[in-house]
Amino acid sequence: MKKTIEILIEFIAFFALIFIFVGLPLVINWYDSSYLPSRYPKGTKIINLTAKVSQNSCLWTLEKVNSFNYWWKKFKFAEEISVREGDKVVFRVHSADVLHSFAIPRFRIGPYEISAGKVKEITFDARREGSFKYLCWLWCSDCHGDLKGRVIVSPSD
Amino acid sequence: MSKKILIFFLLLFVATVGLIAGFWGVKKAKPQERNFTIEARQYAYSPERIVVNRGDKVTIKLSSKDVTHGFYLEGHDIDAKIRAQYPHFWLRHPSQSDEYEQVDEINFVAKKSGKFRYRCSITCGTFHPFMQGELIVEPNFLYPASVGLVIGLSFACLFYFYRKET
Amino acid sequence: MIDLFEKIPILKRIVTLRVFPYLIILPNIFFFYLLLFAGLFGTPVGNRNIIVVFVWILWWAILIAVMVPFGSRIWCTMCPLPAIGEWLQRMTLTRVRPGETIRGFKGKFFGLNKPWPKRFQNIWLQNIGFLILACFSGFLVTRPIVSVIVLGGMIVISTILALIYRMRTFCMYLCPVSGFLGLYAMTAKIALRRKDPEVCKSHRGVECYLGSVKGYPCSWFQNVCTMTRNNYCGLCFECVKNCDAGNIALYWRPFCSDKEIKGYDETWKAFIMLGLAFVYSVNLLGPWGIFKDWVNFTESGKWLGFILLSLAIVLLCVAVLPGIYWLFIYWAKKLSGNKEVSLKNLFIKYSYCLVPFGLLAWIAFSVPLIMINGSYIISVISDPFGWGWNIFGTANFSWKPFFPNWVPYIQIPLLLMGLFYSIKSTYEIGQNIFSDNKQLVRSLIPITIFLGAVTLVFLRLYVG
Repeated sequence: MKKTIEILIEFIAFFALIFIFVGLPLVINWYDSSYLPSRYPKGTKIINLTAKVSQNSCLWTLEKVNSFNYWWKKFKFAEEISVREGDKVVFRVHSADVLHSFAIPRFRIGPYEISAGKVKEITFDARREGSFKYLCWLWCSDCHGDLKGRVIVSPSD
Repeated sequence: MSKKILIFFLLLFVATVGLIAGFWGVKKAKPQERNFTIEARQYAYSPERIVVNRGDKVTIKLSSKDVTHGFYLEGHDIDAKIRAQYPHFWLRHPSQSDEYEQVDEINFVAKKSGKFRYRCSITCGTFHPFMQGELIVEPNFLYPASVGLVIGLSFACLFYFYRKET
Repeated sequence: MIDLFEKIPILKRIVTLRVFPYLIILPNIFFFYLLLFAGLFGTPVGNRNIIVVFVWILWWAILIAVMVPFGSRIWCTMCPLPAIGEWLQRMTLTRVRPGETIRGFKGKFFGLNKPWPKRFQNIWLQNIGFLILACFSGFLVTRPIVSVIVLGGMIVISTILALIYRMRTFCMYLCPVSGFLGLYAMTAKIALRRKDPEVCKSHRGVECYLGSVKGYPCSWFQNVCTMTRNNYCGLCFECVKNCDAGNIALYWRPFCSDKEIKGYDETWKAFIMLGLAFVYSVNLLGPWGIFKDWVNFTESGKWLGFILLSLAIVLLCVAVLPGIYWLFIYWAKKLSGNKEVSLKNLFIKYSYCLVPFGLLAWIAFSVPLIMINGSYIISVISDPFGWGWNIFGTANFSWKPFFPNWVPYIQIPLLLMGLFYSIKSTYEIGQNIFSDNKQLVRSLIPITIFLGAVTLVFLRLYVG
């Protein structure tokens, strides 16, 4: 009887470990990729944009910047961000190191301050088609001038 | 002499030495006007340490060399935001508001004496949590007082052990 | 001295449960897994990443200010880093596998189970490891990825070592945290000791040390029947599970009760810890930008300064501080007038004077750190990875120091307390060296001056 309880406890203990090892990344992934995006209205386009200024190369990128690749990866500059006219868009703007700001002047968006390590969410409707400049509005670092790109709103078909 | 009374007098001795040292360190000076320009950079302020006397009228102009920094002065309800390449900066008083106002300088009277650190309050890079400087408002009573306490405690311990019978 | 097992019987019941250390290790496994995830995939901004905030602000402060002085090596009881290795060795999480894999010891172990080479059976490797880590500490506490490399590296190394060597070899001889935990645990208010020596004498068998059907042998290679210090007891309580006679007590005792330093490796650890408390107070908590540039050389480009600084740190801890201390010891012997006392013995035994002060200096360093930067803990629990989450609604809690004006009033009493306990402990140690009280007190004068001078240095840094 005692031995059975011991074995039972051992099984539960083992299962708890497996549960953590498998479960934690699954839960994190579910929360970030499914649950949070589901809180926006259906059909919203979510764009994650990150500003990074290390080693005097400033850039905005749509790629994921994390604690590991920040130090070595050559990120692709987000010269153009494409959306469709009529899209509901959420810009989730990240800063990977210092205080930046974000603005799309012709859409009267911003300037919003983006704190390092935090995310600013900006929603807007892509009402007009065309090419609209987005940029870091307030001086943030020596290569501040490089931090600009274009949002391309293409006609809906 | 009973042990408890001995210890009591020793503690009194320690405290007295501390207080005397503290008051001895007090310098009386006439209040002046002081001007400082503090430049923030990744990851220190320049000058790193500023010394004023109690009662001085202090004016501080802030500038940044590279990125946006903060300037949070302990004990004075001052928090500033400094942007590079910009002639003005922004100031708020944390106890009153979360919003910053654009200013050209910070003015205050150094009413409290002691050591106050100014720290960066806006994440400005990797070493941000360690970015700090020191404002000393003389007389920095605590410092000579604690020195006195150390000396008094050392003597008291040695005396107590000397009096102990093996 | 109270026996906590008698005062609080439920405590003994809990630690004798086979499932006991596993139950408190499990939450830490969860947290470390979360922290490693954050360190790899979270934001590169240190103060917004849970690995940096939880390890170097929260855990460090709790460890040095609460766990060590009150709980001895209680962290080792719940440390997740060697846990996987130990479970692989034992091939079980909670049970005891009967057998005799290691000659003389009970218990079935997987792996090679080699004994650790005798020449490394000291803490020199830990001293070196800790110094190396200290030189790179700037990166360790600001870049999440470096914390992942170090902590993850410790998990990997301890697991590999567990498969080659016996039991907790990694913890005993390699873990950098273990090095100083062991030294400062001497001051701790709790201690696991045998109760009645007569019971041990008349007891056949040494189950506490060698193991039995009820428990594994002591993973820390300690024999509780003869153990007189906290240094190497990892508080796994396996011996308590093994002891049929119930002759092991968990004593609650005065601060700084263990006072015997046994060897140059421990003495040097005391120098290293004190030297580093000074170095960190200057580099990290000081206003001098030049040191921060040197420490942060990959960003500032000042690699030459980094090399010079690292050299200075190593020399300070390994040569300068011991050298100055030696001069004071020489003076202490001369002043005492006692010609028979051995200088080497005095050097080693009196080096305990750096332990209480060192611990309190570290607490005086760490407590302001958590008061000034503790607000990051509140924001990071809602947004652990800096991904824009807000689980508990506190993600936008802005940084503000907690009562920064109280800091000097906390640091000064801590330093004074350290000074007092150091002088008092040295006196008590000296009673076993000098038979004449007057000689003893005379020998104490240079030590007091040395300790007083060190205290003044810290005071100048903190409040001057």
